[in-house]
Amino acid sequence: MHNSKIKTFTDGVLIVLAMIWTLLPLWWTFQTSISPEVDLTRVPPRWFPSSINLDYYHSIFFEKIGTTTTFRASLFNSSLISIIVALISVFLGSLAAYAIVRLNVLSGQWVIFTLLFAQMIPPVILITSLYVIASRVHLLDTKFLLILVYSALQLPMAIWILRGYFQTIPREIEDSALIDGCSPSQVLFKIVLPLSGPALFTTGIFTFISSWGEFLMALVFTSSLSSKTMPVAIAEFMGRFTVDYGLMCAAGMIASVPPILIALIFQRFIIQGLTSGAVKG
Amino acid sequence: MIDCVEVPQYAEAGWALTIDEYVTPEMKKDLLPFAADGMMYKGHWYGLPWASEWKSFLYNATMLTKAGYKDPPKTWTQFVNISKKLQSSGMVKYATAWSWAGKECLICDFAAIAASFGGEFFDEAQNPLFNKGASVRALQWMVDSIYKEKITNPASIMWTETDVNKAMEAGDIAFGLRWGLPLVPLNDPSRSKTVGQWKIALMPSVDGKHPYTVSGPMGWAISFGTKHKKEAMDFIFFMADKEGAKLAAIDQGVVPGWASLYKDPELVKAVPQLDTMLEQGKFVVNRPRVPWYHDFSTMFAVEVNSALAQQKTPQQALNDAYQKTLQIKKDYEARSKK
Amino acid sequence: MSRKTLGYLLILPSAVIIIVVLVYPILYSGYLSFFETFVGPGTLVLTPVGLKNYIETIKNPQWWWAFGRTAYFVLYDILVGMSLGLGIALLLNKEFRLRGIARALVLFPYVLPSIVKALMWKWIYNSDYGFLNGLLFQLGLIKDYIPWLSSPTLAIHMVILANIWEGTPFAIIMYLAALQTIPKELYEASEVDGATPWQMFMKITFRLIKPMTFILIVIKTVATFKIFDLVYALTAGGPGGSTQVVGYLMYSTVFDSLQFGKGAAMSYILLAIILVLVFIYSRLFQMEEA
Repeated sequence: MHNSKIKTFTDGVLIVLAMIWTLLPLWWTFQTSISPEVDLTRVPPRWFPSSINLDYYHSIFFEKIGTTTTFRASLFNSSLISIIVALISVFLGSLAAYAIVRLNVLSGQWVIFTLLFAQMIPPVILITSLYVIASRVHLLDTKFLLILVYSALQLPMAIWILRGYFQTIPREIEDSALIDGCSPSQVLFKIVLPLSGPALFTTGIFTFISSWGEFLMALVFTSSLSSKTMPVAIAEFMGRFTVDYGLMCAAGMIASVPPILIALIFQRFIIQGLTSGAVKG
Repeated sequence: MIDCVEVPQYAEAGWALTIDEYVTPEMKKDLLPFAADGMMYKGHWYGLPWASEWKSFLYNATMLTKAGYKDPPKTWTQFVNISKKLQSSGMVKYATAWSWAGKECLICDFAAIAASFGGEFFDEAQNPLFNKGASVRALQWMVDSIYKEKITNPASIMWTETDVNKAMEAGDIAFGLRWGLPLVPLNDPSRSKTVGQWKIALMPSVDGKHPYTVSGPMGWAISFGTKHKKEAMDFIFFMADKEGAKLAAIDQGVVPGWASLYKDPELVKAVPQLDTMLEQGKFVVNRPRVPWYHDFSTMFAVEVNSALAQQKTPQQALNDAYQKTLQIKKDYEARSKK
Repeated sequence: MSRKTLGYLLILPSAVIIIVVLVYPILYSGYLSFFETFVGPGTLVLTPVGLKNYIETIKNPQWWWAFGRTAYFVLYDILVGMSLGLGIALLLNKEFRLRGIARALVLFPYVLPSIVKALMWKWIYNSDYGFLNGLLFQLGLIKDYIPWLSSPTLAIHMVILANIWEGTPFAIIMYLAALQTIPKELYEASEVDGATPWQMFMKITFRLIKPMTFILIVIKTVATFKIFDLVYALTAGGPGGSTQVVGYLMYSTVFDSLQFGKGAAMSYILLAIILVLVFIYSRLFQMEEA
């Protein structure tokens, strides 16, 4: 029927429009990052660069002047911190989730409660007192502080995701292992965890992405290169060097690489992680 | 690095250390008075002057000559007329842009323009005077330059000095205010597309006789928590003594606070129009040196910015600012008594 | 060792971290809210002032203006953001060849660091060389470039637009999940009965995704009230304070004006308001269901 053909056509157009809406800002930033400088001040701007200019990227990776060395250092800090926080959250989170699900340490209500509460608190409540406390114990401007704080913020979510997954593992597997003489901790490490690949992965991904992009706490708790993270570095550039947009767009693209790769390769995990909680309960 | 407006607050709160013991009498004689003043509070020294600067008024001489003007504007009326001619001839879209974002930079510009109108900011007893007379007219002029005369880039109300600097370097505007030794970066071919086009002139004023601009001396200070006061002082001397200051002037356009440097032949050669700058340096107003300046500045910048955004009339904005200033002053005095 | 002991051991590290880093500071903040703070060299001087911080905040018009603006953000986020999310979810629910890729691409605004998003939009909105001006100019829709972020009435809407762009993926994914739980037979059956697409949408889709709609409204309200990164980077609260939201106001109170106690009080007041809102939402939802 030609009716459904029109419908398919309209659907197609709408889907393309939706994709344009989603990707336009990113594409424009990418385009800027490879445009020659003269294109950037053209009025009106070009849709595609007149030639490919890799100077900005080169500058970020190789130049030794202030702005780019700061950026490189901040990328290192962000990477280190995000990976460590992901590992901590996955590890400690799975231990705690197992204790809650199988060893009846706390009821699941506590998890939901903590998670919801952690989401609802205005961040200022936390950063105000954390700032005072951290300065008293001389932890300000350290990567350790950020790792600690981020882990605390990610653990409720990690425990939530892992708990949900552990509940789907059939008890029989664990029970038969216990009968065979395994201790509970052996069951956890040798059976449950290996089976939980997807959930561990999902938790790690979420935690990494959140820590990678976190801004407010990093802004407050860091000041020097020893702990400054990528978002803070970029914000500084926006304040001081707003005008060098080619360079900033290149920096932005580089900062976007890890999350984009994760989204492309592991989209199923992300989608599952987001919806696991909501659809079930 | 400490800004002159921060010194009173930092001194009162004990965040900066006094360095009286390092300041010799020869140093005191050679420092430009307003630079020294910027680093002092209640008779004590808190820093060594570094960028002893004010905002210079610059104009793109090449553009003005092309439009048929030999001399820069001396009055604001001339300024407006020249601007309109430049815009109508298509040389620039907007003749000028300013750093009028709701931050400290706006207060600097306001202080300068108000002074050029003959208006006052604060009196000697630190009482606010800016909601009367010429200062109000100055703010009205600023608002009109955007919406009535249309010679100011409207994005100015979100711009800081960096944005204005870039616009000058790119040749997007023909007039601008700039800190430091502005011709040094403007003539740097690695950043500027308008090398050799800019010249410094005295600030325009309402009657041509009050070319006032705003000062902003900054310096190097030592924070209280340091365990290495001597090393810190050594570093400060390295950066800001006469040799260090000269290098900074030639390379980066940092205005030295040592009077004798202005006669140094190397400096004179490297920095054009030093004499015009010194002339302007005679007509400089300071922002109030009070420990509650930070709270005042945050409030005042927002008020003036809302007038520029046409959310309030200039008189209204300044009246509100007046009330709030009195309150801030009262609150500070109450707090510091405890 | 007994199961119980093992259990406690396993949960101990997580519990310690959460209590030390989350619970204690939250309580300490509450404590701070009853003091006026003054930063001396190396110390924080506390002066007890009872409820003064709370009362001053409630009496402060600046606070309520900021609250109103933030609520305005939330309103747009819910009305426009969720509708857009639902629309795109409906599209992505259909069968088509590149669906997998499309779903991955749609995640991008969600996973990018917030500061990068602010950077992108700031450049798009640039008044002299930005994309938005260029596009509208080429399409002939505007004659002169518009300084988007410099006009008080426009600026807040531009930030809202960026915020909606940022929040759409979450709504899309959640609605998609909800849509997939609706059995196809329902649609097929009603088509046989002669229902129009609109009727099918209202009676089946809309009704069955109501629980998800509710969840999204709650999550988006809570999340949008916290908005900070975009405002900080795009407009810093300007021009003339027209984009001042509560998150930024609180941050500024604590870290610009160094009034820790007052900032803490503000955040507790905000928390109370949010809890009340969530409570109202859940009551409304329960009434709907019944």
